[in-house]
Amino acid sequence: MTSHVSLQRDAYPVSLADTGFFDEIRCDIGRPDLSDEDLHTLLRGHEFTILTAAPETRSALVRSLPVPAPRLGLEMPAHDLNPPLSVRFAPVVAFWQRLLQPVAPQLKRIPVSFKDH
Amino acid sequence: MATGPDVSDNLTPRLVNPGNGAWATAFRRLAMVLIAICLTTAASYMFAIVVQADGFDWLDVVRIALMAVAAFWLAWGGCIALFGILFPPEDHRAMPLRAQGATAILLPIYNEATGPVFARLEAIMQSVDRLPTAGRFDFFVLSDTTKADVAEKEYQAWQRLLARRHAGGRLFYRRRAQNIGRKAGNIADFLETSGGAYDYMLVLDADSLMDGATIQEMVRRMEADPRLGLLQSLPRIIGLNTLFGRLLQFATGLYGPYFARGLAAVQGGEGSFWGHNALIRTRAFAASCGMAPLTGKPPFGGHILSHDTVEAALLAREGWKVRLDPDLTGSYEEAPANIVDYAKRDRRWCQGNLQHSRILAAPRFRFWNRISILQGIFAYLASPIWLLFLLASLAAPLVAPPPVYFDGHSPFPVFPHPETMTALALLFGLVALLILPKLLLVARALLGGNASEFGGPGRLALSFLLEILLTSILAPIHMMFHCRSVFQVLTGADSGWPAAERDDGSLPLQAAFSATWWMSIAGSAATAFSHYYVPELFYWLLPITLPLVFAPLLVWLTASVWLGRVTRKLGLFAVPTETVKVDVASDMEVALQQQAAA
Repeated sequence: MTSHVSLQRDAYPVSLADTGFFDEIRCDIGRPDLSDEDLHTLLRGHEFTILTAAPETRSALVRSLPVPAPRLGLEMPAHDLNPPLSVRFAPVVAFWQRLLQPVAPQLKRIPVSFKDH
Repeated sequence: MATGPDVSDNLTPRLVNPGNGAWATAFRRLAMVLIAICLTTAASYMFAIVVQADGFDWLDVVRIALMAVAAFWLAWGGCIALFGILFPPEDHRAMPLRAQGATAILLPIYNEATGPVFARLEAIMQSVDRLPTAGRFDFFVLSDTTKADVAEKEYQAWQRLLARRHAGGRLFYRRRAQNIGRKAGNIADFLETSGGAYDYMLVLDADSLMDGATIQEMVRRMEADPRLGLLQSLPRIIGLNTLFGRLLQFATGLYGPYFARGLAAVQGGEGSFWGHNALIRTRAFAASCGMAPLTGKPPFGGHILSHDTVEAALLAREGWKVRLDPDLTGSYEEAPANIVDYAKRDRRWCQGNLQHSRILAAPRFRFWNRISILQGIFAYLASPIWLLFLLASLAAPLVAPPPVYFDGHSPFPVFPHPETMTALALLFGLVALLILPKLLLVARALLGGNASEFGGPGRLALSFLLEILLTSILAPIHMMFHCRSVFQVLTGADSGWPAAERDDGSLPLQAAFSATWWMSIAGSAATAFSHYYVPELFYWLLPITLPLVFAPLLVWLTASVWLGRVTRKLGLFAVPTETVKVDVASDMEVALQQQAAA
C-alpha cells in the first residue's frame, strides 16, 4: 500500500500515524505512552508547521506544545485516624471470643420449654 | 516524560535488625527526657521555695504547675539545641552514581502572585537542566486557584514557560475544579492521576527554591536506602528585606542547622516532614498516607489541615524511614516579612496542630511520632500557659495570706524568710536555658572560622546581641498573637486580619495598629494594675507590658524595609546566602526581570 502524507492543514492526518511520524514524536519527547488520539489532539492546528519544519527544529516545536501528563494513577486508600471504639477494640473482642470458644457450648442457655421439670 | 527503572516495587520495607543507629537514637531520646525532667524538677522545686516565702495557698500550687510545664518546654528546646551541638549528623552522602528513578517535582499553588511563582519554577528548571540526569525530572504545577483572573495568568505563564524552555512532555499544568482536602488533596489528586509514572516526588511550596544538585543528591540518597520513604531537607530563608525578615533570616541561618541536627539526632527514622522541600517515595506515600476526614466540624473535625506531620507518622507506622538531613544545602524558602503575616500563617498552623489532638491516639502510630504531634500541639499551648502564669503571678500577692509572726510554738516572732538568692538563681537559670544554646552556637561560629559567613566576628557578635534584644522585645507580641489564635480555634471565632498586601513586606502604620491595638490596651491595663496593686512586681513586668503597650509601633518599625536596608549596609544580620552567591536565587531574579521586560 502506498503511504500518503497529507500536507493540507485541514485534512485529518490519519496517515501521520501510519508513516511513523507519531512514533518519531513519541521517541523524541520520551513519551511512548501517548496514544494516537493524544497526538492528534496535541498537533491539531500545528500539523503543517511541524511536518514542514526542518528535523532539527521539529523537536523544539513539538516540545513547545502542551503535551498531556502521563495517565498512570495510584490507589490512595483513606485511612481512618480516629476510628470508633468498636473498631479499635474489635481485635480485643475477637481475641476474647476465640478464648471463649472452647467453653462456649457450656455457656449456652437452654430454652425454658426444653428443661426437665 | 522522565523514565527510569522502578526501584520501589516492594511497598513493604523489610523490617531488618535496627542496628546501632536505632540504639543510639533510643539512648539520645532517653537522655533528652531525663535531662528535661531533671531541669524541670529543679526549676519547680526552686520556684516552690520562692512562692512559699509569703505563705502557701492554692494559687501557688497553680503557679508551680504552670512553671513546671513551661520549664519543661524550655528545657526540651534547650536539649534539642545542645544535642545539635554535641552530636554531628550522620553521613548520608550517597555514592556518586547516576540517579536512576523518575522524579516528579510538584509545585502546588493557591491564588499566588503568578510572576514570582513561575520565576522560581523557571530557576529550578534551569538548575535541573544542567544535570546529566535532567531527563529523569518532570515538573507539575498543581493549581487549586479559585480566582479566575489569577488562573488565567497562571495558564498564560505556563504556556510562555513551556515555549521558552521547550519543556513539552516535561512541564505540566493542572488546575483542579474543586479544592477538596486543600494541599493534601491536591497532592493526592496528582498521585491518583499521574503518580504511578514516577518513583519519587519532590514536594515544593509556592515560595520554595531548590538547586538541581541538591535535588539529585536527595534522589541518590533515596535510592541508596530502600527503606527510606521520605527525605526532608532543611530550607534556608532567603529574600527578606524588612528588619523582621532579616532578623528571622539571621536566627534561622545561624541557629537553624544545629536545632535541625538536634532534631535529627533524637528523631532517627521517625523524622519530621515540613510539607515542602522534601523527596517522597510515591508508591509508599500513596499506600500509606491517604487520610479520611475526621468526624465532626472544623476546627477539630473535617479534613486534616496540617497534614505533613500526620503523613510522616503514617509512613513510619508502615515501616518506612522518615529522615531529616540538615546537611542538604541548596534548599530555600521565603517566609513572612512582617509580624502580622507571620501571625496569620501561625493562625493556620495553630488550627492544624490543635486539630491533631484528635489523632494523638491514632492506631499503630509510633511512640516518637506521637511525641512529635504532642510537640506541635504544645508549641501553641505554651503561650497561653505563660500568660496564665503571668496572670496568676499578678494575682498571687493579692490573695496571699497575711504573714503569721507568732505561730504558737514560740513566744518570739518568726519573720518571713526572703528567698532572694533562690529566686535570682531560678531567674538566671531560665535565662541561661534560653540564651546559652545560642551563645554556644555563636562561640562555635567565632571559633570555627565561619564567622565571615555572618559578616565577620565583630558584626556576628553585635548581630547576636541585637537578635537577643529584639526577640526579647517581640516575644510578648508573639505570645499574645498565639493566645488569640488558640482562643479563636477553641471558640470557633475568627476576627479577621487587616489587608496590607505590599510586595516588599512592609506595613502601613494603620495596618499595624489595626492588628495590635488590643495588645496596647492589655499592656496598659497590666501596667496600671501592677503599679497600683502589685508594685513589687511592677519593674519585673515592664519587659512584658511595655512591648505590648507599644506593639503597633514595634510591628510597624520591624516591618520597615528602610531599617532592613540599614542593617544590611552595616553588615548586621548577614547570612551565608548573602555573603555567597546563590545561583538558583540569581536565576530567579533574572527570570523576574525578563518577565517585567516582556
